[in-house]
Amino acid sequence: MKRTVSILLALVLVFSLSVTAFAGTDVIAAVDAQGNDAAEIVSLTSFDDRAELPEEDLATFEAAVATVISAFEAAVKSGAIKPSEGAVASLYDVLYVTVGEAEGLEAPYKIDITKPAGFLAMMVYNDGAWSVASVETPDDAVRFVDEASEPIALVIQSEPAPTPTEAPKPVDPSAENNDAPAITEAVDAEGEEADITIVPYRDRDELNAVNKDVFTLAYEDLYEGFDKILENDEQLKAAAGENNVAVSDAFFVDAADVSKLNYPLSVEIELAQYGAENPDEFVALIQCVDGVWQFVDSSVADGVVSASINEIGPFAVVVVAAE
Amino acid sequence: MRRSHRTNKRSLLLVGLLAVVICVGLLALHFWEERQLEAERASITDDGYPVRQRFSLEYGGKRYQLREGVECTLVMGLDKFATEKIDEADYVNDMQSDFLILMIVDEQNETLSALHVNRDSMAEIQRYGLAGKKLNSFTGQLALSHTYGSGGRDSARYTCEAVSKYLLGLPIEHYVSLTMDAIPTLNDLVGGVTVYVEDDFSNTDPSIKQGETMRLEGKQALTFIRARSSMNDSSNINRMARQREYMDGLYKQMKTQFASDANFGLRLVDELGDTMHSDLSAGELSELGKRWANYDFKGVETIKGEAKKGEKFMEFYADEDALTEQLIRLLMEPAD
Repeated sequence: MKRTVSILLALVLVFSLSVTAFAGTDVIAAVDAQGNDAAEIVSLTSFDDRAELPEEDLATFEAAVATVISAFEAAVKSGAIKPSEGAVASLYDVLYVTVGEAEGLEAPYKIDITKPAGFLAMMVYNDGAWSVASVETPDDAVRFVDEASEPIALVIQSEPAPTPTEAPKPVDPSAENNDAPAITEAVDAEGEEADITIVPYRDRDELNAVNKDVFTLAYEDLYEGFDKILENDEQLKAAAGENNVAVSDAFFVDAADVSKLNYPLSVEIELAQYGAENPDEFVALIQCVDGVWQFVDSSVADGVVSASINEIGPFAVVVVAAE
Repeated sequence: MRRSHRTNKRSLLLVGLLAVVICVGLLALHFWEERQLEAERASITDDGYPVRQRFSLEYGGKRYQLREGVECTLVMGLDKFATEKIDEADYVNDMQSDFLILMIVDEQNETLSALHVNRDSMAEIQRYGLAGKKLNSFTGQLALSHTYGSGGRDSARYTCEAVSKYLLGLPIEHYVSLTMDAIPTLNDLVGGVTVYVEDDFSNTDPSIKQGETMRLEGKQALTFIRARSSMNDSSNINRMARQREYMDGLYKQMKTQFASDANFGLRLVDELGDTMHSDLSAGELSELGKRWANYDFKGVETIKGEAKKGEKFMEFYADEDALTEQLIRLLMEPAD
């Protein structure tokens, strides 16, 4: 019996260690105000693992993720985050730093976390707002000072990615289903072509980690709470009228380099069923801005929606439902 | 001695308690699974399929109803591998139901027949938006019906709904959906399937030799039933002919396995794992397989009609009169 229990305990220990070993960005070291080792009370939680956080921390984390894109764009445009000449800044990851308590340790804590390749800057979320943090980068670490638990966002810079070319489709006499809207025109406030693309929900893995997190959160709200969104948005309610409405498409409008976007952008989006038999009747375009889904002023003609947008992020098409 | 006896008694008690807890846990899990499947089956029946009692067909001035004890299970083969992640919140996916076969079981006469449905059959396809909200429908190839929903159970139900409508409203009681990697597993589990190779596979898999009778192994089975665009005759009609031949051979092998191995059904379900979805539980699938293997197999039929190239893709149009006659013959009897 004793041997069985020992074997079971050993298995549990090995399993725990292996799970820990495969976690994402790590805490390398942490010391308190007196220089005492504080690594045991500091941990990082990724967006995917956010359910593990206590309720209050989870709410803070989700509120932070919902607003990180607009904060990042503002920081890039103001020059607070400035990539090198010819490089492009992008969000790399968003994490929740948990700082616990232990006897004999006192804040503030100097924390070292893994530095991603091309690291440029870090943002922190405090009192409901993001700001660019002051950090050092000794060796392979990002070092920052922290007093309490809070979300952080890591920003990297890289060479601009070449415009992807579409792979030739294999010749196949089978039918294909291509339910994704497409941008047919995008012009910025200065009349220049805006380099933006649509990433449908099913292709969300193509987004950078942070945009994917933002999209996932927005999509969850849409999936579970569309009725509430409809109820709370007067313009959307008016557009729906007496009709029973539903969301036919959800997608992310992404940009290769947000620093080059001069808002507002005038965009034309060809709806997924353009030219198809019995297309759904368009009601509205909505966008998730800072965690809130809202009506976007738009018009539609021949299956093409024209709209003016002020931020990249999650969008959805609302149509008349069948029942 | 006394201490050792007490220790043994305590150990036995602990082991006994553990066994009881495990049994109760397994029973609870079983009942929970049954309840989940009941809920799903109730929703399949309520959500678009006509109820059996209401289904009837008019032909030649007579009305026909379903025979007692006749049940239909739709088996669908998807054109992707099981490694493709399924997110239940997805509202569209790129998995088409490339292979559709309706298994018709007559419990009273103990017969099994199959109706092979062309994936290019032009049918009414229901569009679905987020959270399964119904949008407008359109006419398209039946294979597209699976591309709405997450690619999991919801998409399988949408496919059943579309096939049911296409077959003049015939109720479909159950479904089994298989991804591409199920085929090599299934093939090898039954010990390989022997076929006559009529087509030239040299561009696709030279190990499959034209003009030979051979026992297919692993990926050869998948290639044999799937290859289309690389073949000289790239029509789905030709591919369906190969699929029917394979099914005949597979059925014979499965019959042998079920007859010789009482646990074959459960082993099959276990090995197929994530490559298979069904509204039936593992136990029910195993029992179904056993029954099917013992019944008199009447063969695989196709639906008469015409295949032609549409604006972009192949389209198959069923001869509705011939289909009505066929369904009556396979499943129905004159109504009172």
